[in-house]
Amino acid sequence: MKSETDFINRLLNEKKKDKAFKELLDFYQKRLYWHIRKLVITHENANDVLQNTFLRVYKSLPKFKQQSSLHTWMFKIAYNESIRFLNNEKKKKNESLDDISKTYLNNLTSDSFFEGDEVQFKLQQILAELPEKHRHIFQMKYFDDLKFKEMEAILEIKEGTLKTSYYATVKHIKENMLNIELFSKKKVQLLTTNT
Amino acid sequence: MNSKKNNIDLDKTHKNDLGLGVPENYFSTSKNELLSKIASENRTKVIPIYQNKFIWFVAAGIALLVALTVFKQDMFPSIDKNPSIVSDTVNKFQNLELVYDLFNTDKQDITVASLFMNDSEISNYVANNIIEELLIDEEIDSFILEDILNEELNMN
Repeated sequence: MKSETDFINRLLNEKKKDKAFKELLDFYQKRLYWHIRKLVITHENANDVLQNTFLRVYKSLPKFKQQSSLHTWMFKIAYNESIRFLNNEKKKKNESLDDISKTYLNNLTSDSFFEGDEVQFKLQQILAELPEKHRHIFQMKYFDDLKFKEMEAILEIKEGTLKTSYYATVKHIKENMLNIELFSKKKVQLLTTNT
Repeated sequence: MNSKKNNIDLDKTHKNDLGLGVPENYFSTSKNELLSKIASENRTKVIPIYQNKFIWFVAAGIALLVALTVFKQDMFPSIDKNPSIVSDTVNKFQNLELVYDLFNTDKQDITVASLFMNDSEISNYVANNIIEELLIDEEIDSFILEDILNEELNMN
């Protein structure tokens, strides 16, 4: 894409906006899909939220004041749409905080497009047990490759707090994954000696 | 706007680390679906007249005025030009004696007639007529009861 201001001008131009919006879709579709998918877990839900996100982006473009970058703005809309979806689901199911991690794993195992092995499932399990906000911070940094500054604007949490949360989560995951790998290796040894 | 991870990396990372997959051709199908949704949004787009509050209020005012003048011509009566049915009633009830006549001839019209009278006149009327009538009724009832009791005593 050319410079962001030029691109935004094209998006706002009645004659050029359709082509510009297709470019926007090409660039952000996968990025936002994966961002949403990690928040809402199942593919079906992620698809619904993604469609709502792009429709909202399309409708809100004339109101975009360019106070943040287009990248941050797009992710903020996607994040807000996902949180709105999750809150509605929680209300519908009348869930308590304790149920959220259970629901996370239930959704994961019920998703026909979860193809994880034991180690991948364990990582998901560790993520599920994290407080929701810490999980989101880790996912946005580690998987979505967002900068702390961008995350500050999206989550409305100070950069320092985000960094503390992220590094603490990384440490926690490393420790737990190490145990899983050791457990897995031992299990493999046991299996091989028995046969 | 540049991101370190490209689209292929994104798919790989999510598959390898989290075990998350997507249906085949999902992204191209989803893109077409989205574009057609947006196209249909554009087709059904209406002129957002409601966004301009001033125009909206002016339009609502004009509509209200037209509706009242066309469909309810007697909505704003003046003293000089009352619609016939109203002026008839007002003139009729200007004479209090006629009101009392109406009360006496047809009790159903009390509620209607009371609309054109002062509160003090209504309470006078109620005290002089209705309460009196109730007392008379009650007196008659007590006479009837007395008669019945006397009859029963005579029988015994």
